[in-house]
Amino acid sequence: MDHRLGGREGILNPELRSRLSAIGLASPLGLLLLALLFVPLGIGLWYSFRQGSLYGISGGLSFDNYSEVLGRETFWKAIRTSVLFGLATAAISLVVGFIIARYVRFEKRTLAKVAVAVVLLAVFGGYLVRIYAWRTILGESGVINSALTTSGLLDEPLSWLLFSPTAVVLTLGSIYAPYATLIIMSGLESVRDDEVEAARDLGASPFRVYQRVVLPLIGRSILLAFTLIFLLAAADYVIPPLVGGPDTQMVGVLIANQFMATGDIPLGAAYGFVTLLLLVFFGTLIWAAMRVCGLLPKGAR
Amino acid sequence: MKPSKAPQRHPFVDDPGISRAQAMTRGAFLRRAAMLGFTVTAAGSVLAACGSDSSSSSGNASAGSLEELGQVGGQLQILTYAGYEGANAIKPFLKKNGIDAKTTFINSQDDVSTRLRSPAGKKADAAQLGVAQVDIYRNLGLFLPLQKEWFSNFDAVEPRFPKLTENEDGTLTSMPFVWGSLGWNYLPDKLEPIESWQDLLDPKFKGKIAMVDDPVSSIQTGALAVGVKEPGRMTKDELAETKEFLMKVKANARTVAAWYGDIADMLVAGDVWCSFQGWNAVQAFAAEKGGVVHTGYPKEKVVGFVDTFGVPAESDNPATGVAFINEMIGKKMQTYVGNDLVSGVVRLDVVPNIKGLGKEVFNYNDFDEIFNTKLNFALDAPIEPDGDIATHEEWITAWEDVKAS
Repeated sequence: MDHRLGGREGILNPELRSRLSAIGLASPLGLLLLALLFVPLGIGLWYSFRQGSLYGISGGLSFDNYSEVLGRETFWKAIRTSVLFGLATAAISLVVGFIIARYVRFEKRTLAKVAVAVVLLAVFGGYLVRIYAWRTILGESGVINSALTTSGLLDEPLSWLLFSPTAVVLTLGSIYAPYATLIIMSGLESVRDDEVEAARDLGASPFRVYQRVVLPLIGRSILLAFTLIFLLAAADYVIPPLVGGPDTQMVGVLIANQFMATGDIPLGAAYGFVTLLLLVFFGTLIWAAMRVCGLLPKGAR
Repeated sequence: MKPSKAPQRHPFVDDPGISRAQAMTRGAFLRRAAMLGFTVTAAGSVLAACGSDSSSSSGNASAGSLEELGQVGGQLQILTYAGYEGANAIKPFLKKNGIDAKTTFINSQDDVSTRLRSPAGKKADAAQLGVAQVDIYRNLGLFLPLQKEWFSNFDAVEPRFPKLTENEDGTLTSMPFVWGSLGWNYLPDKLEPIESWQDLLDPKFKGKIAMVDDPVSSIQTGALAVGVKEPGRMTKDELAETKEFLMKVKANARTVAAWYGDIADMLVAGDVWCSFQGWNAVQAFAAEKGGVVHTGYPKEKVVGFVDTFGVPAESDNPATGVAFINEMIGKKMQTYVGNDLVSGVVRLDVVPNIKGLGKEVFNYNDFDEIFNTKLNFALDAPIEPDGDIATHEEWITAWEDVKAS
């Protein structure tokens, strides 16, 4: 081996060879990202500075679209709704995911494969089917209200269960909680038993064990699950019209309207980029908050 | 709406008992004869596709431009709502003419706008077009002007429908094949019919109304409600007044439904008691689920719609697109439209074939009255700025503000 590589070793030191090798291995993925993510984003960014309508895209470059987006009260209201729903959904999904993953990891390891299968089944279940299932459950003549009224616990059905922010967050949570469960299960797999036992041996209470050992060890998994679900939920534009009430318009609908209803692609692109920047900003805040709370120490897995 | 009896005669033919197809004019006869002559000598397959109502005469091939469209057959790209492609009813026609139909289903007219600007969408051979948008598409030049002579079934179509899509030179931007109205859907066991759209502002409707996320039609209905006679030409001030009215309706609404099918679900489930606005097909959707929903016509009128098919200018197979559209206004497919889609038919000689809900929902006995006194075939707003007239984009922005209010 050394004999065959001898000539090249004279030219390239091991560190450089290692770097070149890593670049070579990563380049197909890099090219794919470039072609499918950065080039379309670049085109979108270019469009966002132009003018458009159903007739097409025209005009020179200007900040007019961004001025319009930033000056619209409706946009800020939709952003606020999106961020609140995104945060609530991410929090609920994280709690549900953590409870399931913790049980499987520390209480019933034998259930791990079954749990993964069940969670995957939920992921593969139809998106719209699950949304309509929630409508059946939460409606005035739905499962919950029927049970409450027929059992005599309530005289009138609860009208706020459906077509309300509660319904939107519940439905979003049911769609995205499986992803959080899978990510946290993966994170908890890397927590070694001896690390937990060492904490207990040192006298830590169960709460303390999770606070000081388990959560910091899976900090990156928590961050990944939270930000992924936050971004997906905040950008959703299918669920709010189907289960939301009159005050649940999210920003995704505004963006879709520009591309579909008005055909103003540049304005839609501007909406998209401002939204992207704002959501990334909120994602960064989440990261910073976790660092401050000690949930994301250096060396966290 | 009370059930109607099947009409005994065509309301627009002078002689009672004579259908429009029977009461053929000399001009119509000559057009058909010329059409048939051309198709027999030049393209047998076109005859098969278009000749279902033609008489067996021959003449000069006056419709030479149809020949330029090419042969009927091969792949047919359709862009339309589910059901409007003809489902199983169209299959014998497709088989007979060797047509392989591929349909791209849309959710709203906006889908068409988006797709027709894409390279693949421009290649469609028959694309759905709402009559409210005809002016827009005419100006965009995206559709092939249709010669009436290309359609052997054209003379049987009730004339007031093609008038809506007629160009200055007598050609059509698109061919109407379905109509309906966006009236007020309500539960008759809970509510009495309203007199005016303004009645929906009454606090008794609080939490009982479902609006629908159909921006253009909602703005049009709102404009009618505040007294605008021609919504497509409303001014910016009138749009502001419309928006204010819609915001007040929304304050009473329980939700803004994603689409009309949702309204039927909500009414049947009792989640809401009425809609702003509705669609007469909601009655049929609700009936399928065991619900009883009625449609009211407030005094300010309701938005009428006509769905049409056009042939995109860059179609690869326009002859087949034309043949398909001709079939859609043929007797068989119009009967399908009335019975299976529970939608309004554009040729009234098929009305006796329409049964059940299709007959009940569309009261053809009062066809004239409905058209003249209850419906407003409102147009969409202009795309380009036009003085003080509100633009399409301003309509959409106003609707977004209403939803966010």
